Amino acid sequence: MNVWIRLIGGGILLFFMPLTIGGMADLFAERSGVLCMCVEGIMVAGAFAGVLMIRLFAETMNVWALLFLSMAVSMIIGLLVGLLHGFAAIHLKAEQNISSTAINTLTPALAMLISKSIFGTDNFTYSSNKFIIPKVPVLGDIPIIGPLLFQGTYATTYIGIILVLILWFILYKTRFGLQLRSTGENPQASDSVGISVYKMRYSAMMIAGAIGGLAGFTYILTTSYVFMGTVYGYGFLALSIVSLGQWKPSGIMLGALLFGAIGVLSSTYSVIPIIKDLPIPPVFYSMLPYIITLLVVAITPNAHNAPAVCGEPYDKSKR
Amino acid sequence: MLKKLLMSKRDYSGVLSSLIAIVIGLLVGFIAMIAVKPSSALAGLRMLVTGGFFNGLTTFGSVFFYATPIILCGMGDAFAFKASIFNIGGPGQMHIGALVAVYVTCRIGLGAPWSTIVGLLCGALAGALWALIPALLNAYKRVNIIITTIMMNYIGMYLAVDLLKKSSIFDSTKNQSINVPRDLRVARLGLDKIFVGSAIDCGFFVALIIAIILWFILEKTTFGYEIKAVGKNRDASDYAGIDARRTIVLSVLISGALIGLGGGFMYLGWAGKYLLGSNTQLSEGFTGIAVTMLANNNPIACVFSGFFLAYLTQSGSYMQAVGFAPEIVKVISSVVVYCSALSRLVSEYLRKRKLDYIAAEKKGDAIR
Repeated sequence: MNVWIRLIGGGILLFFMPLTIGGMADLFAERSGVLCMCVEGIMVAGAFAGVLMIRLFAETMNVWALLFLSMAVSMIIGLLVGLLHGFAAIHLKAEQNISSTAINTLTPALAMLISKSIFGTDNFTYSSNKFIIPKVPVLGDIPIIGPLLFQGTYATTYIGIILVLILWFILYKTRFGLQLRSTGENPQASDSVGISVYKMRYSAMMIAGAIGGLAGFTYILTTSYVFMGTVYGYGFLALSIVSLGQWKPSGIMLGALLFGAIGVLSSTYSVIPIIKDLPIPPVFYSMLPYIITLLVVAITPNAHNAPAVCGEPYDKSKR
Repeated sequence: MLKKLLMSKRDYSGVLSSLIAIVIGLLVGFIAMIAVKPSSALAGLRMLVTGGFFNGLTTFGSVFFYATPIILCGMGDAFAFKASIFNIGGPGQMHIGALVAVYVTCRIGLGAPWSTIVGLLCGALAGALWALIPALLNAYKRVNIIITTIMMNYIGMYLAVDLLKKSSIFDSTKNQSINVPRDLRVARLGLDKIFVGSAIDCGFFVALIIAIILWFILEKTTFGYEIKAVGKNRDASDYAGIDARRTIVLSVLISGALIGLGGGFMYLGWAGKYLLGSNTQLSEGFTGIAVTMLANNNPIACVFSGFFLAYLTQSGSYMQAVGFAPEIVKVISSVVVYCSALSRLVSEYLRKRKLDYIAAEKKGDAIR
């Protein structure tokens, strides 16, 4: 029984964390009024930069220094990609769907290009086992919760939880967060009380880029051992979680939990006893996360909680 | 020069912003090459420009073949974009369309030209069907079509690969689809006599004819007018008596059909392309977005921009010789898309210049 709890619970956690962080990235961008369909592209960039560090310095660096370096690099690269979208969306008043799509195709291509020039192949492997914390002292001994949450979990998962709390605090409990949200609801009014709309939106895109990059890195680090220039559409899953969660962190976390369970089902169906024997073709499980996403966006009621001006370039003279 | 262009009756701002996008795209590609491998960056740039003639007309003829699917895909995207529907489901619609087209062509047994024609039409139908769910969701529930089409891309990829593996057109030893019999491939109409040894077939000319038909629909028919009206303002056109939902569904279905047809042409041709048994998306479906962006959503311009990007892709396949991955072309086309997102900026600037000129001229008149 304990084995099952660990497999399923731990698995859910693996998918839950990156989806929550990716959703928070989108939340920051959209709350400030920038439509960010490019979470996928940002996640690919961050994932690539992070695991590249791990691959390059795995032998020469201390484990935790390496983890710190990879996380920092993935956040910086993600931030730059976020700025690229921000520049088009905020300053140049571009069509935000189109610049997002450009970024979604640009970052995988760049990743493949660099990967081929370094390794000669368009994919490369890395090892992530050493970032697993075998057992957290004291907490790991609690029955059920212990094996579920505090044994054999990746260090990035705990960092992610702390990060989500910090992000929630920034967005809802600080002056900066209030100003940021106001630019997504009524930028003209925010401007009239002295808030710089451009500055707020750029900061939001920088934060979104940085944590989006981290989301990609934690996802690819913990669920795979080979990087193939993609995060398998999980950036778009994060987007759908944001609308499912009605643009609230608590909703996003619930949505991510649901999708975490689906992610586990789709990747471990062949070892779960009851499910293994069901007369369902295996390909169905590979499609499952995408089918569920489709269903979720289809049944989510029209978003009255969505930021009011999301996707509209800021026009000072508009009323 | 600029003044003359600006003051002419025709609007050149679209062409100009596309040219700017191409120049910036090539520049970024060059910078990327310098960053990856500075010593051969210049050779890489030269290869990019001349690679389409690497083996003379043989290579150049194949550009026509590679252009066909991305032109069709670009026109399909353009048709939906005209209605302001961002159908980026190209890879999925193309994959399903290609699978159905190859299967029907190989198995229906109607003999030389008809098997291929029916196969291609079935491919188009399959592509349209694959676009149906996102179309309905957007038309009736206003669900963001980017998310739905991307999800349909993944579902389509898994489904197409799974169906291929279970079908009789799968060669399990090579993990790919079987050879399409020579007499069932797309007709070449003697073009291979001119472009000896190339993969050229009549697909390019079919795409050209379709481009003219699409232009006619968009510019000269009520349906085309309705599409553009819905694209400008969905609610206003609904209010004016246009059935916006029907228009949206139809435009996305036509878009999917064109993309599916493109998939059919890609795998029923002479270039030795096979449907693979591994889970990879058809990236040509995304290249279609760059095609239509460069063409400002004009179907006839799509033929030129598609040919240009196919030329780059053909050059890209020789980039390995000078030490670069073919992905450099994808980088360039992504940058082109990014730049065309900024086209509003260019046309605004040009309009401003035009107004300046007009103002200056009026002033001159007054003095005289």
